[in-house]
Amino acid sequence: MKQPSPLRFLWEILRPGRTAVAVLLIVLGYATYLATLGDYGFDEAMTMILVAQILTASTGYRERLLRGHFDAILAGRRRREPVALAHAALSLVPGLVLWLTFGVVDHFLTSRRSMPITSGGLAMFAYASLVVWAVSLWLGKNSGGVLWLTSLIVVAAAGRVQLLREAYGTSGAGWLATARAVGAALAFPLVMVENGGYVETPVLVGVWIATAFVLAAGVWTIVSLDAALKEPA
Amino acid sequence: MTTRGTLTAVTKSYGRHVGVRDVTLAVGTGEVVGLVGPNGAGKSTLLRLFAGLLRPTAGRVNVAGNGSQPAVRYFAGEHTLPPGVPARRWLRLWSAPGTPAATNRRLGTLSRGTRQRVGLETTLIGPAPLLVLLDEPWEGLDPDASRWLSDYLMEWRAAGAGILLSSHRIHDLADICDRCLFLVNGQLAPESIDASTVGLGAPRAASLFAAFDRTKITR
Repeated sequence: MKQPSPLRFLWEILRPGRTAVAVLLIVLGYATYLATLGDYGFDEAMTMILVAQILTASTGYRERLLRGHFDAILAGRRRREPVALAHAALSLVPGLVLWLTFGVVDHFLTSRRSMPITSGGLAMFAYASLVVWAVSLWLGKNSGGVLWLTSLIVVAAAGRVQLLREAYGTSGAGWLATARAVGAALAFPLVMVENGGYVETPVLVGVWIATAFVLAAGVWTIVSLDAALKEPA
Repeated sequence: MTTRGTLTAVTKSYGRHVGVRDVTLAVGTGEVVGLVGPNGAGKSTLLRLFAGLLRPTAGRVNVAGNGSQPAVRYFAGEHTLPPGVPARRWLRLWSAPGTPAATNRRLGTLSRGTRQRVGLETTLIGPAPLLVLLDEPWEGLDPDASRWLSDYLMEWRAAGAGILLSSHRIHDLADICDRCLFLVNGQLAPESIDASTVGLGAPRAASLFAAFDRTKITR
């Protein structure tokens, strides 16, 4: 017997099924069609891609851990960090493929600077994906995506979007304004793909630091989760 | 006798519930230790502590490791296999040859016995590890597969592996174990049965049953 690497092992468990791949392809095709219809269509397309991406990144961990699905890769292992990083990477892969493919296709079809592959687009992708990944580790598959969508709807319904946009737009005026801009980007990451995906460097650094913290929190969750095996029903 | 794995005064609590309380246990080189106890006694918790899947609330867990030999093999039963993965792909992942029953069907759709056999194959095949931990390994196995499992464990014992097994089927343990321990309410019972006092075959199994019953009564 040869022990597989954490990446190879987790890929067998986390890989999207045929149905999920088909749905993602349909989303990609329809989003590409919408993007060719102009700016309004592009916004709708981005929203679709985002929803698909955050749902695929919410892979979950605790439930499978309690069912013993990770026993074979965790038993006898002195450090769980490689498993945690492999879990994060594989959770992001389907969304990343979708995100980049849409970016490239949009770039060639519309001959414009494609939002998904700008610094703002990539920062938003990484931050949003890792937040929903980290949340779903505890709460279960798709939970992070659903919570993220709910929080966006709540922010929008509360009429806070404009306030956040304003806070984000004043990032050049001192460190306090920059901190507020980073806070706005973290609370409502969609602002990072407005203005052509341009994000000021201090804000970008702030968002990437926050992203690193979220990744560290997720890794810590996997390393420290410890519970009795759930008895089969 | 050198030890392959040791628990020293280990306690594991889940909130207010104590899974295992102050257990000290060593599994020696080439030794097969059986663990018997009623449901909820803490057998699975004890095995998972040895496997490093649970951290003790108190006490120490030590598992030997020499770098060149896999330290631990652990299998908690067919219900822990991921149901959505096709059996053939799962076996290939572990470079295990697989039984004829291994098909492209998902693990969750196979019979319980076939799943158990697939799980055991991926756990057992390959070079002997230092410590083998199997939770109810005979569950769902037919007589042929049970014999296959026992033969494997005997080979590994001869190769120096320390083996810790839990089972409700005391006859299985009686045939294979060097000593048998009883776990009740998370604690090891003072009675243990070893080969020198029990003898062989059916009388041995009968003694084990008797000891188990006595343990239950005194608790």
